[in-house]
Amino acid sequence: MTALLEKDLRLLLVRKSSILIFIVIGVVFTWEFSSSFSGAYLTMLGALLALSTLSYDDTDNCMEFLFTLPCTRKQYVIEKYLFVYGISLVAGLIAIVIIIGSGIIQGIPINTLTFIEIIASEIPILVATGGIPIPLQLKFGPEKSRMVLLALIGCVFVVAYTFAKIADIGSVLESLVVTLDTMNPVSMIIGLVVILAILSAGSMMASMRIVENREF
Amino acid sequence: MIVAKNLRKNYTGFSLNVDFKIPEGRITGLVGKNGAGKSTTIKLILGLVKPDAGEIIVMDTKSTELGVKEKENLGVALAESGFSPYLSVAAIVKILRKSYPAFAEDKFREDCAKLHLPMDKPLKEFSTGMKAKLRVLIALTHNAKLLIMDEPTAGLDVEARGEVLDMIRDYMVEDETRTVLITSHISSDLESICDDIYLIHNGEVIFHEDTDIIMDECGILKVDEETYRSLDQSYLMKTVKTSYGYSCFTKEKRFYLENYPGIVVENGNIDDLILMLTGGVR
Repeated sequence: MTALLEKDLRLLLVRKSSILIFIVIGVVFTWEFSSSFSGAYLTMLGALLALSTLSYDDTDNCMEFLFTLPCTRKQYVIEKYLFVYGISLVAGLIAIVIIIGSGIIQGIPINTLTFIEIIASEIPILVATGGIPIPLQLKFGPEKSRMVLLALIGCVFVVAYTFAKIADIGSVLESLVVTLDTMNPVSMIIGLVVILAILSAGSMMASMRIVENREF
Repeated sequence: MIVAKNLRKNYTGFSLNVDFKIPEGRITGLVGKNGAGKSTTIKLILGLVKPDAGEIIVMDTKSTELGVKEKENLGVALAESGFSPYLSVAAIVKILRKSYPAFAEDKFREDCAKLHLPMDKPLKEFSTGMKAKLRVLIALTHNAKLLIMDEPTAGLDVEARGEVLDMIRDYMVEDETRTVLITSHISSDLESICDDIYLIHNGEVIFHEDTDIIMDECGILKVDEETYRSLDQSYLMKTVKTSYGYSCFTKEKRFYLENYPGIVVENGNIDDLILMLTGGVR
């Protein structure tokens, strides 16, 4: 599996200039806008960059050859999640460093609540832009998976809209906000991590099934 | 080393149905026309596709269950697949170092220099010949017991083909227990390197013989209508009607040379074998 990580890291480094540009944009956003936004933004870009290694694997039938190397299909999937989540986390950490630096220079105090806000914004982004697209990309390839993802988002929107029409959405949201307000921020983060870990595990199991059944 | 029993794979409009056995220490060639089933067979051996029926055992393991340990003993060069074209040889060295415990890095670097393969250029900037040489080199530098080579000389000029074949020959000389399965469209490559040849056509193995026997015992009789009728036809494997009479493929060239001194008998080769047995005309 270390060989696969090495391969993905080498592929990521092919896009050195993109990485640099994204960091510069992150610095500008942090300076100009809110810290939680730039945290989420850089995490998302990290996830997208790491995900692009899947497209590289699909180029010129490379995946076919990769599965002749000493690794199992299961290991390939585990490595991909480790890599995408790992790179997203590194991007999130870079965002935090930028936010701290920007805060010091601009004289904006950074308290615990700000950090919780940043982490709370980074984790869902990590799963939504990193974990969830992996099985789609493995199943449909880089091009088609984007269309499928858009269709999925559309479906979620339609379901949410219908639900809002039928149910008394106002009172549901109100009670949700009240519950979240009364929650301890740490418990909220733990709860978020647990929910997203369950989603990630589901995504990983789906990916394993797709890759095990894939033929070349 | 490889045993395929009642191996079946069905696609829309094509079915593969083969049995074969490749023993240790042999270089076996797989020949056939485009779409005959050579690449599907290779993919089944490597576990890249799953059989619909039957099984294929590779180094005592089912091909669909090949694990890390088995793959460490496998060297693979595929015709249209390899490392990402965005990677350089230098990056590939780092990946191979972590992939194979027996990766001979110094030899790999030496061979790259010998074959004029630049270390820092991305593969997308390589010529077809350079890519082919690198694919073979990658398969050869971790002491693999079994080499699977799908069209390793495709698209190469005569000199580059010679270099690639020499690399495979040298690899076999180093350790005679090593086994190679090779497919190629260029029959002269297989004639010069293989111990035996499987001919695959429409998804079935229709001929298997040692290369020496193909070269020494097989031949093509070129006879007119009258001579053809007088021939003992029990040793003719395939007969094709031609403008001058008949062209007949036989595995018993000597029998006809001894018993019919006047007839024309041309020496057989793998191209003739493919053309005659798969319905082509020479």
